Amino acid sequence: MTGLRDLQADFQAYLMGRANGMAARVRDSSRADAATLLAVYGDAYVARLIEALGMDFPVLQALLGEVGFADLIGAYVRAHPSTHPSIRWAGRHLPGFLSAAAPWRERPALSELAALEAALRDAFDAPGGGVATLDAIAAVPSEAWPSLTLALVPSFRRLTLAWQVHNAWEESEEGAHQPAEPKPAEAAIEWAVWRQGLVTQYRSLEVDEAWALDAVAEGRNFADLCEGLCRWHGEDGVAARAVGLMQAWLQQTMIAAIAWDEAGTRVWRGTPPEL
Amino acid sequence: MPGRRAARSQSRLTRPALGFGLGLRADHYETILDRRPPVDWFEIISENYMVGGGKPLDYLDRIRADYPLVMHGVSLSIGGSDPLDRDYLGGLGELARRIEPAWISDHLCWTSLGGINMHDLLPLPHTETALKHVVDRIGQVQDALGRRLVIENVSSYVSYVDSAVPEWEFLAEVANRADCLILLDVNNIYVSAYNHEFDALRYLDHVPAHRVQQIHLAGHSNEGAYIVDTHDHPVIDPVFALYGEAVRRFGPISTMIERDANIPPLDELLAELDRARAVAAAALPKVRT
Repeated sequence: MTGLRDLQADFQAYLMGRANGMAARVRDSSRADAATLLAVYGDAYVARLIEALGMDFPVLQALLGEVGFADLIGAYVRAHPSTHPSIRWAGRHLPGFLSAAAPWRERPALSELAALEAALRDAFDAPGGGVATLDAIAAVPSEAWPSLTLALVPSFRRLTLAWQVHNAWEESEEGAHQPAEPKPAEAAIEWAVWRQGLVTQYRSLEVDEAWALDAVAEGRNFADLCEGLCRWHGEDGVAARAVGLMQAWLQQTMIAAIAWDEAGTRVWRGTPPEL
Repeated sequence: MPGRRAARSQSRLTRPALGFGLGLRADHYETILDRRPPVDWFEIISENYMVGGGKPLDYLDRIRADYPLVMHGVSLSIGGSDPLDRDYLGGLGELARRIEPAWISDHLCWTSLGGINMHDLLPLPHTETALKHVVDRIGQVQDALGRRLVIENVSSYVSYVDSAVPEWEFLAEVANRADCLILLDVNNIYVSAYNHEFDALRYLDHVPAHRVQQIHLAGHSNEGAYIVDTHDHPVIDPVFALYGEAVRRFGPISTMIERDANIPPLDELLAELDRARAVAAAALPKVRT
């Protein structure tokens, strides 16, 4: 086993760009020497990750261009080699890498664009399951409303982006070969990303709606929402705003289940999350 | 006659042949559901469907309703020196319970070390140490999955100084000692025969016929000094000829074509699959006589 592990460690170190004596462990053929043959694997290692990550981050790739994207992924995989059996997860650290590593950190839009693409990719194949429908809230007794909580669907993601990276995404969707460099937003834009049936959705949020969705994600109830929304709404309108938001989220299939307290028990409608 | 039948079923360890299949690729989902093309079965890349939900699993379930499926993994790292990834095996088992594949395959190679996945099918040295290691791990996988694993020969570009026996001996010994089945990739034999300058027919002669569950066909890229297994071209004539030789030796084995890049319209692959059918049909009478 030790011999096998040593061989594999040498091979892996070679693939990851650390020069070593791997070529001495393989044979020449009559057509090519050992170094040439080893390079078939060496070249394929980063190339395969560039190809896979290009599919997961197509707009980032378009923005950086082929060479720029290849340079990025080369540096990225040196810092974050893949630790998941599926290459689908190889890019999970890319937004963080872009915000921390030179020279990419000088262009903060890149990290935000990668975060948007990662959220869209995550929503695409996140667990599905049922959703709560609008008529579910009709079943909530009036005295139980303060205890009402909502469970977001598993595909739901929230983003706060300071750059107009969605423009690059939309340009690319419309066929632009190389989208324009995103500009800073006048104020941070709040986003929700989720899947409606099989279709990935994203939309911007009003600042109060973004706060309310974050509160829902934390498990806060209707009474908490109303209290928090008072930052933006007068006392007489706050309940109507909270109800209006809930109705919109239910219609847009962002909510998997709702729950409230009734006669000492918790009542669920929709598809409760696994507890 | 009953005695003869019993003897025959004892000798062949494989599950019933499914006919002629294709690799299931996202480019073809809609066409498959719309047209229900004459493909006997599909092979899926297991990892592509080890996800929470969404389109991949939705299409898979709908296609499964009409076609038999087999699962083909790329990340088991059966020859790797890390402990087997139990989470991965659990995911594989979960997917198997969902789609009830006719069988589950992966490659005779290693793909990760120290928790780092190289996402490549890296060759093993053909040594007694590697042999024992792989046999033990196939046993663990077979116990976990509750079925025989089907193990595929890979294309390789290097041969190790340490290797003591040819690849065919290593493959046969692994399959016999681990009591597993074989996915014989005829293109990989062709590629490796070119790269390592051995006789592909000699390879076929040493494969334990009663363990061959499936055959892969694929295209490759000939770079002159070596061939790379790229799956981005049609199957070439010499690979079809080698396939005919395989069918002559092993009989009507479930056969499929892999295409992973430069993916053409489904009709082109159906025509290529018809060619495989014709090659097999031409080879088979020689088996019966």
